[in-house]
Amino acid sequence: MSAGGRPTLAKLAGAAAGLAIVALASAVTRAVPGDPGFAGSVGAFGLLLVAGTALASALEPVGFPHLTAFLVAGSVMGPHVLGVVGHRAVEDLQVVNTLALALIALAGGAELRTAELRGALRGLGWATLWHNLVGVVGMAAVFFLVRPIVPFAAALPAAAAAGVGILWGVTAITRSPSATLGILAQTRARGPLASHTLNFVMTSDVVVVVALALALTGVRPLLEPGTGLSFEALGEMGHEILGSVALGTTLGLALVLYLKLVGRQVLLVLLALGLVFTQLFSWLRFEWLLIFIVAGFVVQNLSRQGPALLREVERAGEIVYVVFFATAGAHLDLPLLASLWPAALLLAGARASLAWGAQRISSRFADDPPAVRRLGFAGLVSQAGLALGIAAKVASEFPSFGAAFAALAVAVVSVNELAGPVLFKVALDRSGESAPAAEREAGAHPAAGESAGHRPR
Amino acid sequence: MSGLWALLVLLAVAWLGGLVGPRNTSRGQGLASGAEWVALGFVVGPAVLGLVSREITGALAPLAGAGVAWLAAIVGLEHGAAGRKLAPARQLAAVLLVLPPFLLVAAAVAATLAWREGTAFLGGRDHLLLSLWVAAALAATSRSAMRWAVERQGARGPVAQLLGDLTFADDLAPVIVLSALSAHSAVGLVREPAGLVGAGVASLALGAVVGLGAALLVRLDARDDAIAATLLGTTLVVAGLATWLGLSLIASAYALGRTTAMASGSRERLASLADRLERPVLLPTLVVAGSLVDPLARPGLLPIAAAAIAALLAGKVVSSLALAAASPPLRRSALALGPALASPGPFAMCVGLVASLRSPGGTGGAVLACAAAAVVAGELLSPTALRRALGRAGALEARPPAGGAPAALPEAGP
Repeated sequence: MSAGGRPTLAKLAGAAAGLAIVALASAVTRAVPGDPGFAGSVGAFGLLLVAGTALASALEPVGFPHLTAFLVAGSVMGPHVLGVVGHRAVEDLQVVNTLALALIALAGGAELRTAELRGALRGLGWATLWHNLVGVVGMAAVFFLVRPIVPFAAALPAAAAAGVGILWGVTAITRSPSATLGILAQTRARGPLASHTLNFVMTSDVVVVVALALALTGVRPLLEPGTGLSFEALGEMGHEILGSVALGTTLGLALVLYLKLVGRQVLLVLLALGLVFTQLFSWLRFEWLLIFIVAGFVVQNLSRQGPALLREVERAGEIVYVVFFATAGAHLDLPLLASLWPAALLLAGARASLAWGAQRISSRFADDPPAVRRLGFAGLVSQAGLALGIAAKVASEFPSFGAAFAALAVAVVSVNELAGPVLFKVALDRSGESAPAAEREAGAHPAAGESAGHRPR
Repeated sequence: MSGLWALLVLLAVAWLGGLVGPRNTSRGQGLASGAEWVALGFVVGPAVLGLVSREITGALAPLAGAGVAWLAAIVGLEHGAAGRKLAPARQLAAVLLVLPPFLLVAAAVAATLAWREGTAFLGGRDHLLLSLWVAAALAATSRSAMRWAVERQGARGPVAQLLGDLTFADDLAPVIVLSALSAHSAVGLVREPAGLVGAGVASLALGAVVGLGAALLVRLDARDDAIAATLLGTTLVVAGLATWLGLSLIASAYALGRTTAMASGSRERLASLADRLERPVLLPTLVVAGSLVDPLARPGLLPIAAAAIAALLAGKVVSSLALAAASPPLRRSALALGPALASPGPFAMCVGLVASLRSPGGTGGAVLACAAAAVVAGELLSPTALRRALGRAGALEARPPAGGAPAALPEAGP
């Protein structure tokens, strides 16, 4: 559909229809007592799809990112606002959420092409160094300074506060592959900014895992006086990363064989991988997100099956993104955000500012194109599941303050989750890399045998 | 891990289901009714080999329920014919032709129940409900039957077209019955203000209202991605609400599909999009339904099923005679046409599955078992009879075509 080509009346009618369906479901939810069980989760899934799609379509003409529309729709429908999607449904939908993230990771890996990476290696190297260095050190310092307004950190001794600050810094350097891919899928952007952001975000996952292991090892003596340095976490990290890369490579090669020899029902195979194998990998204590990124990378770069894989993932298209972000929206703890907003806003603002600064420095070293230099930070603001995963890990490692740490992380991630996609889309639009509406429309109806995949250059 | 294994098995079945269709036609291999998948589920299920436990089938059943909603929505989307409007006279004929088998099956089941249990005819609500549920499950002819005849036997011409149209429009009457039957299970919120009649049409009304919304949403954003998300989303909303309100899942989803097709102005595109996901959903649903079949769900189930199948055959013969009277080319094949149309197919299993989910064991289990028996019996009788009937009517070409169905014939489905 051409965004501006449809009569306004049809848009209004469509938006009203979406609202009416939500209102109907809301009325039933309130009027019929009792736990709806599985029916509630099925209905909730459907409602998130309907509301997310309707809101995104209705706001498309004003340039609102689809992802943010999905998030807003999810949070409005979620347990803290309308309550149409209840806590139980949100928990039940985590399975679907995991599937969506697995597909996103697979597509993300498949979007990384060695030819492009080689060309961008210098920029990528400097960006990785500066963003992570400035991110961890800078955010640790900011956390240390603002700790008087952070409820759980105000009373901590200076050494312990520094330790928590370092953990906070590691949480802050996580990015959101799903948001990056979602915005690129919507805008079908091509150019240095799109390419730089994609490459950086997809490879940053490994850095974060390493940084977390180092931080957990290093800060323990600060947080738990009397304990010495233990390298157990580093050993676990090595096992996790090497194992995940090996499993990802194997999975990628298996996918190559399947695509080449069978080549049919690929979406169902991906469903099985996303629904079942993610659980299996987690159970074996491997980093399944990394496994899927590596698998996608292997398919793209060690075979000719990359376009076929991307095409199959994109067949699930919008549904994957709606489910993932609308569920994330429903998960947003708005009351918590309301109680922690001053600290959350301050920390989110500081993180974005540091990303801007780090980008300027790294671009100077790498001699990046002007678009990357000016706007490269914009795609790095979004955060999602990985940040929350790290917060949960910290919570389990340090029970004394972990729960409060995780709560603050949820609040900050909420801010970044809402603001990040808007910033990235604005940046892509301003840099002129977003495809025109007509081309996006053509991308939604790919010709037979043609990949509809995003192709950043 | 049992739930995960069950899910893996289900996906594997869906994968197999997708593989058995050849690349260049939308259907193809396997049986028209999907009876082999029902049989597979039955054999591996708790009733026979027990390879899949009751715990696993119980865990998968709600997922299969969501699958039924999707399939029913597709039936609604493709009502009459995929992508084109069916003449009202032909739609009416389809509804009327379902009545004889429906009435005869209901009467036969009720009579058998009365005989077995020594009660009066329709002696109690349970007997009435079971009779009507079984009749609603069995009355319509599988939409795949004619599609198979076209793809494999080269059926062509106006007779093939007529039978194809009828099999694609005859689900309406059973759907209306299912909607009416849900009046007794509707929650107070629906039944008290609307009364029994109102509750009886509430399932269709729910689907129609949400379907209207879906049609407007399709007009709002006509990208394939957005349409797929809207269709899936609204179907699941309807499935959730119908189950929550105690309404008929099948009737609501059917009404949703039909209203969306009519009001969106994109009937053909919607049907084509939905059709892509039909078979991978259908086959796992049939396997789960088969695994839930329990021949001991109710005492005396065997005579009940036998009576239902015999009545179905008799009813289809009556319908065929009426059809032949109105359509001269069919006169020579009227008697063979009865058993030819006695293949209830996946729709019957969907009805049985929903009945079984709503009332496990007892009535629900009996409906599912009767549906499974009729699907298998229909598969044994129907293809040969259909070939004979089409041959006598001069609708068969010498050799099957290489390229699948003619454009005018609707896509097959449950």
